[in-house]
Amino acid sequence: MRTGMERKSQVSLTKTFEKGFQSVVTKVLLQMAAKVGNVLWLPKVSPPVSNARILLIGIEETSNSFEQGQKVVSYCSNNTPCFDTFYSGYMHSSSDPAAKNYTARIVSECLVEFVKQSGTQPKNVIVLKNGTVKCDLAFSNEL
Amino acid sequence: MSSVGRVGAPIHLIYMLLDKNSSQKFFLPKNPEVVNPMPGTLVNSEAVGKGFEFYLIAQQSRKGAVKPTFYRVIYSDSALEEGLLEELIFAQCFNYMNWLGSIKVPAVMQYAKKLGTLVGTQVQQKSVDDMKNQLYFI
Repeated sequence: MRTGMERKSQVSLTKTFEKGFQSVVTKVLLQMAAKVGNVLWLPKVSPPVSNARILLIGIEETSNSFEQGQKVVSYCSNNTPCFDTFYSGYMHSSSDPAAKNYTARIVSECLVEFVKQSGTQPKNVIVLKNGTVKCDLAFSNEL
Repeated sequence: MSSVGRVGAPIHLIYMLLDKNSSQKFFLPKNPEVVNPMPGTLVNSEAVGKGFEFYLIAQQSRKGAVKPTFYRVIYSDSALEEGLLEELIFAQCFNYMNWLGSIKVPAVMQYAKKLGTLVGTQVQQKSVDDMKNQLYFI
């Protein structure tokens, strides 16, 4: 639900404050800065890696505490070849019909966003997934 | 994917699975005892199978034996040079904005996990399109 009243916020536990100044800075300043779209740092990679124009997609399945036995499929990918910004999304495996064969749909969605944001298409797409499920087997059959 | 791929050059695909709860342990002999291997340790022979698979230790462990992350490529039509994939994965372990050092999996995996946990425990609605380019969940 969108109300137009959304505000960026950051939760910090009292435990964090007990840890000292560095923890508070990490939790509050850095996370807030990242949330509003700042790039805090970029790991250096060799020219062959950056020239390979890689789209890296991570897919994770988490249990849904609202519906027993159902899963939340979440994904995240880089928007540019230099890995400075990210694209993410999720779907509920119970209500969303697209979630039945989600890998192909996620790859396609992330690919379109990469092209939109960076103005170039990737040379290589790397899909990373935690474990394996039936839908992966279906996807590998499609390949 | 095929519709985008038709516009320009072909796009190559690598599909990998990872296991962050692998039971394998690696140690580095350092007289007179053994210590945890340094972050960046890659094991791609002897302890792995015949396929394209490897263990990567990206994180620094200060307590107990470090848990390596296991990666297995199940499909690849890419001609990436040997070692580039491992280098990219290791570099991406430093790209997680919630932690100043390296984590055990690439940042995109940890972001996906964080988002999944938030949605699975707190949110019960469809994702909002204009927030998809922000790390609102970290």
